[in-house]
Amino acid sequence: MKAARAETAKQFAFYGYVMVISGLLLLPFIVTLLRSLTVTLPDGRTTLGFRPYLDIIGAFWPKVYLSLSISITTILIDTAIGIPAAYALVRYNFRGKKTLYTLLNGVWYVPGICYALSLILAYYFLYKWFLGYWGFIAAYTAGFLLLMIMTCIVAFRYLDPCYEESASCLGAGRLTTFFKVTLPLIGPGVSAGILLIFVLAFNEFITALLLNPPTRLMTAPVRVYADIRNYGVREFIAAEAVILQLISLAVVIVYLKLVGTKYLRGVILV
Amino acid sequence: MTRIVAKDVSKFYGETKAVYRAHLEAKDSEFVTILGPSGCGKSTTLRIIAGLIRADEGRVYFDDKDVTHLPPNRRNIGFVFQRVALFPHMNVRRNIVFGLKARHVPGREIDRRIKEVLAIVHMEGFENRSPSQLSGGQAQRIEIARVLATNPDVLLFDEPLSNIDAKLRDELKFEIRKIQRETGKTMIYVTHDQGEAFAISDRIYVMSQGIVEQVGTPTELYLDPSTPFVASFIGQNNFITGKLEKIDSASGVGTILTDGIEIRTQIPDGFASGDKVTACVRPEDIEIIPETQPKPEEATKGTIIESIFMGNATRLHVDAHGTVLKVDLRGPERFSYLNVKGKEVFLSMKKCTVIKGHQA
Repeated sequence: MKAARAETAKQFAFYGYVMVISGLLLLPFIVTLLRSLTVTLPDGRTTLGFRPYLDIIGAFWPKVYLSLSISITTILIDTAIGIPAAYALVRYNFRGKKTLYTLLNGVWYVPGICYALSLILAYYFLYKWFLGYWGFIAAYTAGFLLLMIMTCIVAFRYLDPCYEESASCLGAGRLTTFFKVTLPLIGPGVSAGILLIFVLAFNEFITALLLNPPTRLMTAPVRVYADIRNYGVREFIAAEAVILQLISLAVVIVYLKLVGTKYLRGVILV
Repeated sequence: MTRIVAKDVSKFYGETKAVYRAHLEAKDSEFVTILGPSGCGKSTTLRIIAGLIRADEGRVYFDDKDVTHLPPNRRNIGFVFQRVALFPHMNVRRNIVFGLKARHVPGREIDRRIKEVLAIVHMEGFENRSPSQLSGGQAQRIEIARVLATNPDVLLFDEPLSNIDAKLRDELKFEIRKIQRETGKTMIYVTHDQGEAFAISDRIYVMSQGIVEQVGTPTELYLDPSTPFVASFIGQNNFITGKLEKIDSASGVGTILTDGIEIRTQIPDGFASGDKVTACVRPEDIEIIPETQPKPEEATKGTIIESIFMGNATRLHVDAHGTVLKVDLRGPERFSYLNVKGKEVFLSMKKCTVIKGHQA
């Protein structure tokens, strides 16, 4: 009896602990969501409603489209460059391969602001020539390419070379083998890179903020920041934030439904 | 159909000689096996012939054509891998069609070929299965069908049965042999399994540590091993090391002397008195001389120290002056040697192979 009670108490303590941690993690999102649904009545009382979503300033939506456009273009270019690069890195041995891997890993430890500054300095000439959009794309493409290469490297390492060898022995040339055999088999791995780039590029802030003056392009996260600067923390701004979160969340959920978690090991907890 | 020649091919990985000056030939329609323990270079040799690995030295010819620098897809080969290499994202039919399209087989012929090859491997009706729905044996049959469909000049099999359970393996090896006979294709088959190699091969190349040790038919290798490695790798053997004494020049019979054991046997050419030699005697070639019979002068005296009943034979371990000899009794006398530890016996060696040098 005593032992059973002690067991129950232990379980309570454990669940309590988990709940507190979960609460701490989720609290900011819940508060933002509640704030985005808060309506202040003329008499000063507050109630819940969708009014803040209707109050979002019309100029916000074009920024969302711009963010989507930049993210998708970045993904397309990074996929086209990243897959062959990863393939070469995995399948061919060359001098300095290990050093290159170390360098690639090292990029993650560069502080965001420094990385953003480097990208801007490096691609400055493009802003002058193309007046914005493609300069933006250049910085983003370079900034997120590594993510694509890393996920593709994992995918290629998972891929047993015997499939490509057997395709070759059956008489298929390199291109046929790549498009009919290699690509379908690493597809899910590539999609993990696409997902990560989307989520990070769509929500990227530092580079976008620094690029705003020279390109006169404002992405959605920068717009949220600008609105806070101009209006203070208001309900409609919370609504803007929630919309950005929902778009990312929707993409992640669709991905997990379609592909599953296999290729996200080490990136997300499963 | 096609003669394959791998002329003195070598492959180095750093300091390691994976394959060293291996010379291999397979005649038209011949079934050649490369046999050896793991890491002996047999798979590397096969992959060099297929074009999956570039040889560092040597050349590969199909008939008179030098294919050394051709990629696998331009050699018209059929390669069956150890692991099942069916494309997991295609069903059986599409897997076979892949090879047919790669070899530009006209569309109207595709269905006929698929039917034909699935019949050969007894897998009719499996067209729409995905590879994940096949057992190991079924998948390997489909793999063979996929390879046959492309009508290759040569068949190269790299331990295709090593991941399949024993009973099925037995069945499949004879089927592979039958397919090879019926199609008349030149075949090189790699295995570490001696039984498999003996059962299906016309000729066997025995490899060890990157070099070809001996080439021959199964019987030649068994009866007349030419190196200590082959003698120990093929079947069971007793190794008696000693010195060659007095060769009778007329009859060619010599005497090998070692501590307390004297063996009289036919000595091949190229040996001289005083050579260090190893006499290889198979356990079934040692006889126990019945007590009632007279003992010849060179009979070896020994003491039975172990007796193991194995069903079709009884294996005795006989200590002969410090050398432990394995003796297999196959006839009815095997039942009378079940509890005989400590018994003294006289042995006679019916047959032995003499090899230069001392087997480690």
